[in-house]
Amino acid sequence: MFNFSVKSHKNNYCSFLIIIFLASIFSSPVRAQQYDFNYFESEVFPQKYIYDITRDSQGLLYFATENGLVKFDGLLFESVTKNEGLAENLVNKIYIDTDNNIWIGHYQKGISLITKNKIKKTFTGNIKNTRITSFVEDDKHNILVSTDYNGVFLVDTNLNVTQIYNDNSYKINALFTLENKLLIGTSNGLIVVNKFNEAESADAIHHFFNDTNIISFINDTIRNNLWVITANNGINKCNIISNNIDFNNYQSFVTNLQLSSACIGPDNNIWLGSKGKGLFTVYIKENQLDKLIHYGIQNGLKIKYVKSLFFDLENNLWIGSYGNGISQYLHQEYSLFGKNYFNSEIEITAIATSNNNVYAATKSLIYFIDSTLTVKKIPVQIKNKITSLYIHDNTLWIGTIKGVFKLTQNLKINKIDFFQNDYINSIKGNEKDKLYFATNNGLVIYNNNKFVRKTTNEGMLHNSIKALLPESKSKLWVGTMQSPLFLVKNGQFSNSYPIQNINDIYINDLVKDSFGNIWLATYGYGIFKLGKNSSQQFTTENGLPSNYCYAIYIDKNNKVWSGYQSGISYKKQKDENFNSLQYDQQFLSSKINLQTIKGTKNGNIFFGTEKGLIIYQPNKIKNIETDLKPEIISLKVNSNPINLSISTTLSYSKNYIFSIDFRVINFTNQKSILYKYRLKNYENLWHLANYNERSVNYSGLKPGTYTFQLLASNNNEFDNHNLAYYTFTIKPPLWKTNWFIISLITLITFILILIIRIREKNLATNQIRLEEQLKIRTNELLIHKNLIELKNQELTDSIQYAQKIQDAILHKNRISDFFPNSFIYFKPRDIVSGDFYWAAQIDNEIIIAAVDCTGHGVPGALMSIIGLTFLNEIIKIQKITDPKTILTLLDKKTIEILSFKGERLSKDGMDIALINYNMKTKKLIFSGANSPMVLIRDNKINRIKGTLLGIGDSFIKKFNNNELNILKGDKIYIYSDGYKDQFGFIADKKLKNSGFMKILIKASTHKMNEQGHFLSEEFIKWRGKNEQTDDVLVIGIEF
Amino acid sequence: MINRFLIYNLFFSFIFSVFFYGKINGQPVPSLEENIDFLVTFSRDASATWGDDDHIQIHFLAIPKDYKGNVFISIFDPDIGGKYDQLNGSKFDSFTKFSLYGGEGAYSNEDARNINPKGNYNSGIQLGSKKFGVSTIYDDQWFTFGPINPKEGEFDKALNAYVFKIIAEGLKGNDGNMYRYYISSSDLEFNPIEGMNCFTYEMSFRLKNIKNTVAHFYPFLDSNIIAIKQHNYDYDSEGQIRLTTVIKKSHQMSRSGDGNWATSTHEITPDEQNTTIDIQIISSGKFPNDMVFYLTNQYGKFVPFYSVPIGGVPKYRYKVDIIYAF
Repeated sequence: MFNFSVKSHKNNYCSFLIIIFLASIFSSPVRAQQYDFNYFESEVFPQKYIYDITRDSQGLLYFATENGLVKFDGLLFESVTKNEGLAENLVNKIYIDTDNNIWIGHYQKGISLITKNKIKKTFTGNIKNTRITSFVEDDKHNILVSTDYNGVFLVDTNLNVTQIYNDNSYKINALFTLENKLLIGTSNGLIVVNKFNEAESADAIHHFFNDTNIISFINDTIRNNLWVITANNGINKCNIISNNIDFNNYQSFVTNLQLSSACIGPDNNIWLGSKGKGLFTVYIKENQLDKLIHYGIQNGLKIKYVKSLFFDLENNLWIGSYGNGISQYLHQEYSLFGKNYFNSEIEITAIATSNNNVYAATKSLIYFIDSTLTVKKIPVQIKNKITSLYIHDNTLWIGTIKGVFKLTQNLKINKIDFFQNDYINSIKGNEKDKLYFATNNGLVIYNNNKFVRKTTNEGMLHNSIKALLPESKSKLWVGTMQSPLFLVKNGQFSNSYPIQNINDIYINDLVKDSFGNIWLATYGYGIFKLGKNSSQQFTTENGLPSNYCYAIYIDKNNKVWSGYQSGISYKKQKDENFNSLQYDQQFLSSKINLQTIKGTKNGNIFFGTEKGLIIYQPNKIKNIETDLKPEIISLKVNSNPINLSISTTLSYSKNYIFSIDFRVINFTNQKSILYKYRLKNYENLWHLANYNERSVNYSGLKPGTYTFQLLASNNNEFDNHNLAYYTFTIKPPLWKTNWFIISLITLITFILILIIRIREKNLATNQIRLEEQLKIRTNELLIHKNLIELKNQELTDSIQYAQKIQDAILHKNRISDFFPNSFIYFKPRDIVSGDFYWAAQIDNEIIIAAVDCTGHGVPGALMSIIGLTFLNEIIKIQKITDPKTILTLLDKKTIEILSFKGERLSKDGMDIALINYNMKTKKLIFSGANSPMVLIRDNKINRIKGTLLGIGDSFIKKFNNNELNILKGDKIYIYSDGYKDQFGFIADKKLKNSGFMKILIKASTHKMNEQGHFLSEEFIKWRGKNEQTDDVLVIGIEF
Repeated sequence: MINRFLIYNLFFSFIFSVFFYGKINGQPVPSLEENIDFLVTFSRDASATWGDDDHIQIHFLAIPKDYKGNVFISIFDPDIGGKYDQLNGSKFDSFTKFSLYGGEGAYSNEDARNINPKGNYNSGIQLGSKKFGVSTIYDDQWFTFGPINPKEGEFDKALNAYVFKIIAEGLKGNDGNMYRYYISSSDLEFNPIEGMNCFTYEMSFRLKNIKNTVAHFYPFLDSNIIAIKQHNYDYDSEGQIRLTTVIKKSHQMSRSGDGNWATSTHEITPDEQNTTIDIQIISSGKFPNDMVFYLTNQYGKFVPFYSVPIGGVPKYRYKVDIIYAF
């Protein structure tokens, strides 16, 4: 209990402790530690008799109860009873073999076997009407079954049952196999059957432990022992040497206990359930009983009759009782010393530690807790409320709301007068010689048996000193209620340190970590961490349950512990933020009092709360797997379950409703679990779900492949490595299937090809028919062509003959007869022309006309004959030489000849430019009917217009004469509009008057008899590849 | 004339009763109504004339179906020796085994309901067994089986209860073991199990050694019974054996002598069917007297009698109206 092998200066502590101990053993009784057990309400778990407990490979727990087999995943209990096919509701024993088959031993109806969640078979026969008491699996995967009084049976891998041991003298309770040995634990000792699995040579040869009621065996692989657990002779340790068990030399422990169950714990200690006395833990050290801990009504366990014990994968202990249901022992690392221990005053107001011992004060009492957590009350009572404790130099210093007391080695209480009625907030000391007192009236330093007070008068920043942190022999950090943190050196104020520009921080507690950072617990500002050159603040945004922090402590792993009104928060070194303790134990939410978090050398941490003293023992932390493994437990399609071991493909339907259930098997803190899930290919976003929202439905899914993905977390961090998923496919409808589409395409293609072929065939047939028709038509056309060509030739011959006639007529009108310097550029468009020229002399008057009849070709030629005829009649016969009169008469006659009874039969006519030159007078008279005359004199061109109307127009018109005196060298041109109306090949427009004038001017520079040729060349150049538009006639005369 | 001895015995009986019954609200077997202090089982080497014809005693405990708590079955003074047990010879040298059975067949098996211990009388699932020899550990103390899950009994529809069987079996030796049972819902104190009853088909017991004290048996007669036949053994012709029903008052029944059987048959009328009858055995108080009693019906079938009379103790209905004028 006490550590005597300590350093010299600590021997004083030990002496002090011994005296305290000796004094206190005659005072109040020793109060043991309280333990926290979790019980399940009868509404949640109604079964009261728990005959056996086990788990499967995933960690799911199974309870054998009077009402069937109950499965538990940490949140929900699920029963399997006779209704689901069990042979009987009363289940006495459960075993899960290496293939995860569940063997259920009943009270009287034999065995039920569950394989892959279905009840595969029930065994009765010889095994009926006898209670199944034990299962064990041998190395060949046979299952051995023991019954009450009906011997031992072997069920092989083909589920054939044979009896291998038959002796009903004693009740058989337990079985164990070691290679080819079968150990049978009976109500009267141990029977060893060698070579049990060789039927012909099996024989029971040895009896051991006579007169003892053996209830179970525990294979202690760590110590290489076999524990033989008895009901009435304790637990017996037998050594296993080379697969042989030495039953002749064994050690017995706790022989005084009436036992009913046993198991080996994760700490390799033996846990024992008793009949009527609750639970025990046996600590064996070097073959000696080191410690025996009793858990009973007096320290938290309500169960007296323990029927079954089991540790789950998280190392929680499950206690099955006989008549009191199930209990769970978890979080052994946290326990509460409460009212069963501290009597009426349970609020812990101050704590001091010394090595592995603790002093805890309630308001007026002080308790000593040793390293075994045994508590003794120190037989002193302080009148004033105790606020702080500190051990220094053989003395326990007690700070109160009114002064300071000393408790000396001889248990004498002395009040320190110096303090009078000072309110003491904290007492701290350095290792050597100084003590510091934080009071509401300044800082008091105790050194060399003298007290010295330092207030604002002596330079302190504030009188209300709340927290102290001695740093070295001479340095002390001081926290007050309304000033910055400041440093006192050698008893004098040295420096102040505003924190993040906050000058009036209310500091409740101060502590330093191994890196030299100072941590402040403040009232209203959370926690500060001050480094050499930096500071960091932690508030509720960093996970603190509140910004009002009352106590702070840093353990040897640099884990920061802090206390609040709502409990405890911690931050591991690598964590960025703080975490609150989120366990089910309610006492962990107790209010933590000012500066009441302290630790001992062995790593235990003590928290002073309103409900007592909370103790944290890290050596009791289980090595649990922290990975949460989410599991999809069922998927139902329209309420029909699906086999999750293989992917599923469903036929097309719009009406599927998918119901998915999932879970995480966790027994430590199910309520902190968060789920994250989604159905990939249906949604991208993840959904969050609380611990009790473990199912989801989907409906209306379109054809496709979907994967349900599931993650779980208990600290808001989801580990993608533990993704659970299941993939299923909904087939598309027939018309959307590939084969259907391909078939359809193929069919369509085939049809198209067929259609095309048919069309082609039809086309070919048509082609042939058409070709034949074409041949026929072509032949017909050829015949017609020949006819047409014949006719055409006849017509052409006629026209050519007509041309000859026209030429002959025109030949008689040669202008050159009258004017040697003249030319006639005459180019008919067709064979015969609508343009013509006329010339005659009457006495001294030469009359020349350039006439453009409407149309060209044959119609124009016919009109030209009319014109020629009338000109001959008017001029040559009627001897009329006045141009305007000639035109008038010509017009009249043309109209008359083209009319019948006053109605014009044809609107044809002619444009005419007519000149009369009097050789004697040298005067020229021009009259034009829609046709001008051009005079070029001295290279200047003068265009004289005629009447705008032509001969034969139906309007009444009046022609006029234009007289001019002709000079030698004058050149006059009369012409039809054929030349100027010609479309140019390049310009793609008519030459027009302007263009024609330019050519005339150019032509006029040539000799008159060359101008015709010039005009011809120019016309051809202008015309290019275009067709000739009209008949062309240009007459040029030089005088 | 005041009998000092009677007063003395009454006084101590009262004290005894108070001690055992006053603070005890449990269900003793035999019950207060039966007014029998001890059951007795002699070890198998003892002569039957000691008052035990077969050295085995079987009792049935019916726990109501609706009862959800634990069952504790305690045996008072189960070991051999001490002030209550019957010494046979110069010293105590006997063994008695007490066994508790449940499960299917514990009650329904015909052999279990036979007064003669043969065949499969120990049918069912043995829930516990304890052999007691000569010792002082349990002198004036109780040995308890339990806690027991009521559902481990055999469910009987007619009784609407889970039935357990407890067998006291005399083994080697010739001494007589005096004991009694207590049925409770708690191991710390004797709390009654409401609705619980205990019955047997044959009882070996010790009459109270006080003159004129009456031991009662309360068989229940169903509607099929038209006659009963009582069998008593080794009564030593002490006093009277009487039958009282709702319409019979103190009808005399045959008495056996030392080491022999006596029987008598009694007609049962319709009025008496479906009622409990009261068979009273009066003690002469001359000496400790151990005897055996059982009852059969007209078919020779054994009729059980209950620690807690079903329907209460029968009250004889007077044929004459009695008007009490006060």
